[in-house]
Amino acid sequence: MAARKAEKLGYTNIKVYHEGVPAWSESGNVLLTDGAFVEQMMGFLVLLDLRGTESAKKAHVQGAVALEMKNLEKEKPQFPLDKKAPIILYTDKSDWKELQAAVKMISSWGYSRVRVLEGGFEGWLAKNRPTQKGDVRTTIFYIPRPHPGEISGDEFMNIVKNHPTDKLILDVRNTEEASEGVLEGAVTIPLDALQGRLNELPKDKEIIIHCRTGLRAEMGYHILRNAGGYKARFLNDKIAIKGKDLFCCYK
Amino acid sequence: MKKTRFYLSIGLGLAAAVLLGVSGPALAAENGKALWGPNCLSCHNYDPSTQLIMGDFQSYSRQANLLTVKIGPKPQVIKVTDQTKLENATSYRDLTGDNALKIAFEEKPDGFHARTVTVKPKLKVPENQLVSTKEMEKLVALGPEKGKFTLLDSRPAYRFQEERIPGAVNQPLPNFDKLTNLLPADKGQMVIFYCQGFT
Repeated sequence: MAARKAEKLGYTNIKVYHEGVPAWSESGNVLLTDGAFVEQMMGFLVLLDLRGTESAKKAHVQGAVALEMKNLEKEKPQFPLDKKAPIILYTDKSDWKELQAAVKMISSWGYSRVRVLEGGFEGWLAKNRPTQKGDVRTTIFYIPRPHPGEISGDEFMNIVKNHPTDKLILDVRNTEEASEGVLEGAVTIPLDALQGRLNELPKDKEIIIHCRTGLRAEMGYHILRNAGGYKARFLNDKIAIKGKDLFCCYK
Repeated sequence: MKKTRFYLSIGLGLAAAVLLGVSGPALAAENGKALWGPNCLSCHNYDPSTQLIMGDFQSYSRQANLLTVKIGPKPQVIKVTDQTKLENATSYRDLTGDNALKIAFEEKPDGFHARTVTVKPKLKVPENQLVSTKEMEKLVALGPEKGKFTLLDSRPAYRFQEERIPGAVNQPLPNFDKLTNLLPADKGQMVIFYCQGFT
């Protein structure tokens, strides 16, 4: 560990903030994020331009939503339901001390990934990262970044309805869950048995995996992927199948 | 939030799947190094004489008794049974993505079976070296210059890029020896290290 290595080099005043980033963030303190990270996650985070609509209209970070700092508390109802949504705040220079109160407030609503864009809009411009002019969104919109192999709810529903011959639905819920109803044409293999029953699955069809919440379907996706030779995607969403009724999707 | 309600009639007989391509489960044991995550390999040397999976916790399913371990871009799914020993944690459900796992396993026809799942324990730090969040808040508000300290983030670069404490400099632990220039010239000056917590 780093502190022990520094000791060996002769440093005499070594401290360790052992609780680290999670504790720092839980206390509502500011964490800075790099423009490179924001650019890479573009479209899958909540980017708040706290300079207000007038400044934002002149130019803003692509995809940002303009909110007034003083109105922030009133905007609470339009924040995403997903408390793990990355929320990035910025102003012209993003002086973190000016943004501390905003970070504390949003964190106190339960959001665990509130961060401040280091260098602010000026730093963003200096690196020639993508910006927009004119109309700016004033309502928050958030979609989480899809996991590798994820299929959209719309496409899943389409497959369930139309039974394309090049796709096969694989239901990896356990036998008890499946006894309440199974999708038409679906093959059922409980997830814990999947690895041992791979030879029951075709390699010339795309296998669309579902469970009840997406958790086991994703594991199934990794099992097929690690086995090699299978084409597969999975539904990362909650569904319920009761008798003849399918309820989907919640995302 | 979009909610689509949809009715479906479910036939009694399941359509028989076309059973093609009978291939055994191609397990990854022939390349044991592929079962060690890149973060683990930055500190541990790969040892081919052991059968270990090393990586970060990703997910656990109670219904299926399966554990997903993140190993670079290829997560592995491992069975945990009543015989599996869990060390340094009371339940798989308490684990998060910040937990690094070391798993001793057996390879069976139906997949990897974990013998022991060891959660990376908290490192011990001498009491007099510990800094609390309250003390950190004061120091960070002063800044490294006024506060006369160097704040070093030992996590990998991608983590640092995603989030860091104001005033921190990134010195990923595996590169410590190459990055000693980030330490102050004055060996008596305060140096503070932090990471993702307790590691």
